Amino acid sequence: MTDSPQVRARSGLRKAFRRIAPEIELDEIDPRADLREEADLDSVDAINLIVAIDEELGVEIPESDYDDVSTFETMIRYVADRLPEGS
Amino acid sequence: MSDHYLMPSLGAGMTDGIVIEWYVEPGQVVRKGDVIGLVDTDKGAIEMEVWEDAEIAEILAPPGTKTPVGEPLLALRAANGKAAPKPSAEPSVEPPPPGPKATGTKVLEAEPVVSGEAKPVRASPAARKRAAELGVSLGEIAGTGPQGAITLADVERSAEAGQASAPEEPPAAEAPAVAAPATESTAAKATPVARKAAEALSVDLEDVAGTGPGGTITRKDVEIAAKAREPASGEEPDRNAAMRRAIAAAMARSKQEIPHYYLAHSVSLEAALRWLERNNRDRPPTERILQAALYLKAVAVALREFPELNGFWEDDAFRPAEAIHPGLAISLRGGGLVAPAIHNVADRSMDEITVAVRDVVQRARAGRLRGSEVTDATITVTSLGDRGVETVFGVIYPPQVAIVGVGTPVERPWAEDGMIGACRVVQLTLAADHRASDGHRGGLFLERLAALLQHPENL
Repeated sequence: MTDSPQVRARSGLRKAFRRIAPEIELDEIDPRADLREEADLDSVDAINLIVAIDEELGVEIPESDYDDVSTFETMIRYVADRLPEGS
Repeated sequence: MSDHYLMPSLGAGMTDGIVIEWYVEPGQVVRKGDVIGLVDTDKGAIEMEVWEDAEIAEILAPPGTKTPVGEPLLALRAANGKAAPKPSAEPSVEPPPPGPKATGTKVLEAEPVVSGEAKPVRASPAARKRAAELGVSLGEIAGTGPQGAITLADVERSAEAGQASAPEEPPAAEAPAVAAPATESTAAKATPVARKAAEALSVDLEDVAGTGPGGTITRKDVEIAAKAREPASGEEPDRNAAMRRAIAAAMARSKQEIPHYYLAHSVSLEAALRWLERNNRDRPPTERILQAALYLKAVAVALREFPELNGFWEDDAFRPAEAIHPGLAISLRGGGLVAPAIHNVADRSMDEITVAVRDVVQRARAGRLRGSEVTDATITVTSLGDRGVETVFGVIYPPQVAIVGVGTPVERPWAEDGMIGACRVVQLTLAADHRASDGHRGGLFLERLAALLQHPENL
């Protein structure tokens, strides 16, 4: 794959969202606004999302880093920076 | 003679349903508790479970057929070839009635279904949909996906091999639900909501003209396509409106018939939250115990001593439930809510409850709840999570007799042992049916619940 980490992160995150809440229109949310507010994620959705990201992209997000993934934009960046080699 | 599998009654006011898909086929042997198909109801798509071991003899209601509650959907034989015994001939196993209108209609004997339990045929949702479209039987396809699951590609291959007349479509027509090597450009042909709508409305995305950016198919596009294809019956499946009507009927009946009494109790959550934080610190996300699991478990354990809050008011009498299956209220983004039962909570560990809650929330979002989940709840628990208000006074879901509310925890000055300190506090509430219980007992229940939350390690 020659896709950039950003593209792979974005695509993987879309899949993760589709798994946990297929009714969310990612295209309609403000990528710079608080993700949980924008996507109306409850606490169970939030944990399901963290798990889905790990499973789709192999990126674990520890609780201490939750502030770094509070918007869709920062989440893409966070995940892109940590994509496992060769994925 | 064969027995029949009837259209189940999946809650108050359900009069009919439309089979979306069968996961089984004639000749297939199913076991009690197996998920055998998907039915569209005013509560959304719900998976139907079979009440006992049997062999499918014939599909009487193919997908798309609107069938009244209690009318036959499948002909069944006993797995050994004889007619299956009638479920109604076993009066000893009386399932809890799913709703007030259930009398007189046959009710599924719902079995607690553990999350992730195997379906008769493993297949991805996209594969099932495609198979239904192509008229391919999933039972005849060898799956190449994980654990032998049938993938979209398997279906297409099989259709190609079996039917020369199968419509040819590019394989990228639909992004498989999982593990597609899709790049951003191919995955973006339709929005997730549009895909879900397409699945629910059985619309082939290939038939839909996208009006979104770059030709992306939006939900509106799918709905328009579905409408155009709608038969003359004129009954448009407007999911939100149907769910609104179902909620309206249940809540109006509740407020007209049930004399609610309301109690509230402020409780320190410090012990509970510290225990959760300690427990979760070194666990991976998959294993972190949810606050909701803690509340459900505490409610269920407390209910053991208050059977008058756990059951049903029917025919002018209270009937205590035999098990404790709290329904967890889940608010849906498109509007409306569902409160699927989490089975046997008092007897399960906090870890098991957490897994069950995560699974049921995810399936509620995807519109894949099971019949037993929508009919079995014996009480409702509504937890507002961390983004709500302090206090919730619930409306009882008839024929249940109580709903427990857990507000959003807030930090407050709190006096204890003569000292004032900052403390995370939660408002526990109870709305209960005064016909079945009295305020004194209701108060004792909340007290008991509060006490249990002070020692979560014992739950």
